[in-house]
Amino acid sequence: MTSPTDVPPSGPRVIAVVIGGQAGEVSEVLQTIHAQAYELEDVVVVADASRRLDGGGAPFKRVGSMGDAVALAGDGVDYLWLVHNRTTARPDALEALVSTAVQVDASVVGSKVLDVANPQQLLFVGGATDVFGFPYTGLDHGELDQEQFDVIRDVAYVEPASILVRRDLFGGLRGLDPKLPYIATGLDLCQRARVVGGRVVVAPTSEVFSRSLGDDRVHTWREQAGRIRVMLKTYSFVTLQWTIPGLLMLGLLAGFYRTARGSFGAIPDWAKAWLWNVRHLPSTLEARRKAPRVSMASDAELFRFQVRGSVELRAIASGLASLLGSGIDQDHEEEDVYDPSPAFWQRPAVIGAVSGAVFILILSRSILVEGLPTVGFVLPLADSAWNTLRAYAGGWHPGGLGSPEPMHPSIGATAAVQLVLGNRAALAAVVMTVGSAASGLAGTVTFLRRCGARPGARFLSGAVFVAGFPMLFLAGAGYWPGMLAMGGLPWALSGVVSPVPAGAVARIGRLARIGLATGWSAMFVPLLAGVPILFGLVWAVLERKYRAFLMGGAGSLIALPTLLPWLATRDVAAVVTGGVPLHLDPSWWVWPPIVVAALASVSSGRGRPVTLTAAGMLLGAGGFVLARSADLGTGREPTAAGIVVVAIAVALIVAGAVDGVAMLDEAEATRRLLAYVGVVAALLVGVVTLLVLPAGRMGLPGDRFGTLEFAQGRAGSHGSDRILMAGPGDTLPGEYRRLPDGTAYRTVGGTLDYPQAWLPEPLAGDVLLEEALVSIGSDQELRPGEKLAGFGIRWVVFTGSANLAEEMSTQFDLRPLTGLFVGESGGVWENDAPAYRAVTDSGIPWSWVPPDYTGRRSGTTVRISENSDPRWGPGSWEEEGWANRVALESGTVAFAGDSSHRFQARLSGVWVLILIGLASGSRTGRRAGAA
Amino acid sequence: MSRLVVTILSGMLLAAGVMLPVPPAGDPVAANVEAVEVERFGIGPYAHCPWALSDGMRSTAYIAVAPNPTGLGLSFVENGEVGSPLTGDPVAGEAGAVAKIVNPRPVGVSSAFAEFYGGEGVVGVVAVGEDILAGDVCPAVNSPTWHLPGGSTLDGEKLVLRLFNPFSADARVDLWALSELGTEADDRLEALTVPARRTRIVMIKEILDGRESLAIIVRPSAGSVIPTMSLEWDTDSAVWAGAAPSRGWEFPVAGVAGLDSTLVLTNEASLPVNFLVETFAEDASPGTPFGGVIEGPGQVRIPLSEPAASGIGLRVTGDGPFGAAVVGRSATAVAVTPGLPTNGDAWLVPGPGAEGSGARLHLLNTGVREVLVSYTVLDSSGESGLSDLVAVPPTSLRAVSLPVRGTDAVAVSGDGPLTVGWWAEAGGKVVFGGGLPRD
Repeated sequence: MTSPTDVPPSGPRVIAVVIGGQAGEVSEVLQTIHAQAYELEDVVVVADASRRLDGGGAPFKRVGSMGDAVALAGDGVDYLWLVHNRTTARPDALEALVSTAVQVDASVVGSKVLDVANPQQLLFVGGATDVFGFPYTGLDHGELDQEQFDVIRDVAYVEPASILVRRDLFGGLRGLDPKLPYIATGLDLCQRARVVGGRVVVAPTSEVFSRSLGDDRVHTWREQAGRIRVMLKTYSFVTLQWTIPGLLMLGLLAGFYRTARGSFGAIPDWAKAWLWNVRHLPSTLEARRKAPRVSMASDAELFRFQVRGSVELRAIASGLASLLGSGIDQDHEEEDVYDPSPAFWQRPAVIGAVSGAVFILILSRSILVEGLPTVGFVLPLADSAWNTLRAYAGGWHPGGLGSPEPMHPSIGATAAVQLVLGNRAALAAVVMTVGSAASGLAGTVTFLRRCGARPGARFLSGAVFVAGFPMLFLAGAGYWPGMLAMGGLPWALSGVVSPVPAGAVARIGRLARIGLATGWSAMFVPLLAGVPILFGLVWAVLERKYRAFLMGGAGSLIALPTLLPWLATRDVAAVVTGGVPLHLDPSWWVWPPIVVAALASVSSGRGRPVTLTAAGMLLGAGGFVLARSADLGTGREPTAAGIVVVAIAVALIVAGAVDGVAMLDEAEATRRLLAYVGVVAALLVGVVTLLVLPAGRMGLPGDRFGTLEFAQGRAGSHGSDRILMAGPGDTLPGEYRRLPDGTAYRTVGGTLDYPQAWLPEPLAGDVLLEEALVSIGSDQELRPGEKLAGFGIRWVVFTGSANLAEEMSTQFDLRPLTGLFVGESGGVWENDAPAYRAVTDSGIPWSWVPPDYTGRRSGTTVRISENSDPRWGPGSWEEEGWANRVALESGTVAFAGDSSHRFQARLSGVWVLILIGLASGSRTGRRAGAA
Repeated sequence: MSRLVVTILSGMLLAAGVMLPVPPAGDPVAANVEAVEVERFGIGPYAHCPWALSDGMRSTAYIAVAPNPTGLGLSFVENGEVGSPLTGDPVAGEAGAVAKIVNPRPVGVSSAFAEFYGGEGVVGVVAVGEDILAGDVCPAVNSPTWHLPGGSTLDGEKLVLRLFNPFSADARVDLWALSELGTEADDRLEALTVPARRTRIVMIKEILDGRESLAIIVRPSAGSVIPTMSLEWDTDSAVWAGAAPSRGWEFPVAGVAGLDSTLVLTNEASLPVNFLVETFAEDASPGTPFGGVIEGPGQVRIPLSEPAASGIGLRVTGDGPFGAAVVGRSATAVAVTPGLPTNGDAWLVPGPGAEGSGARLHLLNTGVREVLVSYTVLDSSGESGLSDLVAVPPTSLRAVSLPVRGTDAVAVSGDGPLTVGWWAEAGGKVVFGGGLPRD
């Protein structure tokens, strides 16, 4: 409420000056000016002569510039009341301003600004800035006016909605800068006034109304440009020497950050702001030169009203903390994203977020610096993401001797990410790996926040999820898909446990987010698609909230289309039993702390921590059985899914155990003692995560297949040829097959990449290759090279001891490359016989450009050493043994593709885009609604 | 759900998971070299012939025998290269197909390997000349260790070891020499490099001169070699291939009238091997078995008694793997044959007619049941050869005279297990030969 003030009739003389650019409609502001209780000497509107002004019948004078307005006022006027044309004011607003100015001898006095649409809501009540001029209002989003700021305060700046300024000062300062936008105009006037010794205060008793300009107003390029110009005009050269480079870098960083958050104009805005200043640098320097210097010993006076550090940087850190999930204590995620209060860094959630970021950086530092090692399923992405996607969408599977079988969904997912990142394979691999760890940690923290866990428990559990023994086991086995899968699962479970939002749009958005997160994990470990529904069931039973089951079930179903076309071509038995299984078999000392933490928590705790522990126990035990079920005949996918489930379950147990004590009364001594035992055990579980930190590779072994690059270096002009690799199974890249004597083997293209990690079901050529290897292994072949040449195999590589390797010393046409080793032992042999994947009938080898073959037209046909399929073309096709012979029509031979698989792959892609759109669209809508 | 139910349910699942066993790794256990005795002994798709000798006074014949018609390629390995194969199609007869290639390399000693395209067979090499009658079956197996007992380096003797490496990888070989002095030490026997597709000649006499009995054990530490030994006198020579150690040996030709025969047994292990020797003759009355111990590592020389005119056969068994050879000597002749590590129902025997003066085929039945044996003489010219059916009584040796001409090979089959060998004599020179079982 505006307070009545007592101004003597012989008080200062004031004229009102309407500013605000060239708006023609000034009737409303004139009306509010004329309604003022304080008597005005005159009312002036500053506008171009060309502009038609509509005063609604209210009297006013018109001037062309601010200088004319000052001249019009004359010496008899004490103050100018600058009123923006969008402003309306209470009748006593001016009176309060004048009273305050007189009372505290202020040179510039600003009004409290309220939202015209919601007069109870504060928009501005004086503000501070940081050293870069970024404004900080100190108001929470939507904060109501409860007279909490109703005290006259010195401030850094006031908004030009309503400013009372001394006429003589205003004249000396040469008025307002017409080149500046709204906020920068107020900032400019206030800083210049303060530099010459003027006092800038806010008078909360003066209430005016304006429209909300939105949170993003400060990020517009005009405001950015205005802040730069203000700095250039008011700061000393010494200050400018570090603030200008700092602002340049800070702006760029903020631009990147805001771009990543969806503001795609952020970087262009940053550039435009600086270019604008370059263009207007002469006028800026002129204004600086003409500025009065009477009391300007330095710009230190400005610093008194500035917050420490960078407000914008804090906002970025706050946003990152929100992403990491630990920076939010509220139930509504959008409320805490922008909170750069000075106490920000001391908040436990922020400390947790920073610690989380540091943890991830340390955990993955070698990967960030050196890139990923090549080991197990950790293989480089293909050179061309687009070609991989072509092959994924109904094209040719490059694994083994090829197949029309659809590839593993993870190949499509990784290729899509690579494509989005500009086809940079190494960058994409690192981003996905480190990003999944960060996302897994943040997701776990968010998930546990939704479950009611405290910050300490959340962070510890997040670390346990991404670096606990299950994930270390997956990493140690080189099972990259399992590591990437951790990025989505906790987010999906977070959506399952969250209260169902109100409104159809919000619900659809929630389901889309659950489906998207589940889909991301399922694309890498497909059976994880079933985890949300299972977890929902467990949560529903434990919490008696059956909507969790429905949400989980819906999330699981929504995720299934992302697995097309792989899913449609697999029967259940193949999914359950296919591939070489993993077997979770950690050291004995890993289990006792987990079991003790679980038992102590579930027996001593109360409330939500017990629910967390119980859910973790049920999930973990089930996952454990699955992860060790290889002896029952299960294959790679179920055991991998089981390990990931154990990882999230252990995180739940740790959270429940750590939080258990907090729920107990002091009087419950026995329970508290038991709970403390659980806490200690949980901390021991957390200690395991430290084991992986020294290497900095997230638990991945060292590079094993880097030396395979020899195949590139020794390749002919047609490119690299096929490599036969054999050795102990765990030393081979990706999947492998076994000979009857147990020797593990596989073929890879000369360039080892992730699309080849998975082997399709063996076809005729694969069967014949196995027979050939059996023959070679039985010491029946003096010339194995001749046999292998038919399969396009130029290199034989042993990654360790193998019975087959013994035969290499008793054959004629595989030449050892002495001193070259891949893996721990073994050796490398080069085929003396010509061995090409593709060769014309005139003997010209063709190049393999996955998934196609290209070469010079020489002869009439080309033999393609891939499993025979009539869809190879475009020339006429005929089967040649297990391989293909295609008539030469052009310089390219390609697989025509499977239209059904192609359709399904596209459907999957469109489905993912729809989910992304629904997920982000609903959130954007909510934010807009909130604003 | 109560805490108790959760705990019990989780505990049961956890226990079930703990009890699930670790699946077998699936990777095969690497072969234990020490445990390998004989991987296989019989005809095969290829054969290594480390030794052949041709010049103006000596002639060498490669005789290839296969049970079925098949292509043949004979490739010489010289100067690090594998030459283009000499091809041929063995002439098929009722009992097998045989091919004979005479003096493919007209001058000097040569090394080659033979390949049967699409089938299996056996190859023998027989050299005949003024001062030589020697030959043996070309090995069709590889071994991590080779035993070559039966050598000597007395005055007038020249003992040469040929290390044939036809393969693509260099080999590194250690030689153990066992003599009447014990295990001989000389750095010229250690870490010998045999480059790929080359033959390394080791003049044993220059290293260990004056040994009455010298056995060489070849142990490759990298790669593989096919060793063969030649013992050269002024009047005769003997050539024999290395053999992998075995727990048992049979010698269908262990001694013939006019030769002083000696059985030499070798043991490369550190533990001693107890052995038992049984002799067999045509009269079906086995001699008194006798035994002994081969100290490890070491060798044992056992002089054999003067045999009857038809000769004797031997069976030697031990409680560990060992090598064995029989050396026959006279004033002008020397012949050495390694034993046969296994018996079989059917045999292919190359080369008994190469000398042209007639040879005798020995059929040794060490079993307790009579074996009815059918043998067919195979001629590379396509002529139908002799066929006959003979009965070999239990625990006895049966000697059969072969035709002077047209006996490039012999196919033998019986209704029970036996071993087959042959010997020939010409101009005071003697050769012992053998064959390989078909199955």
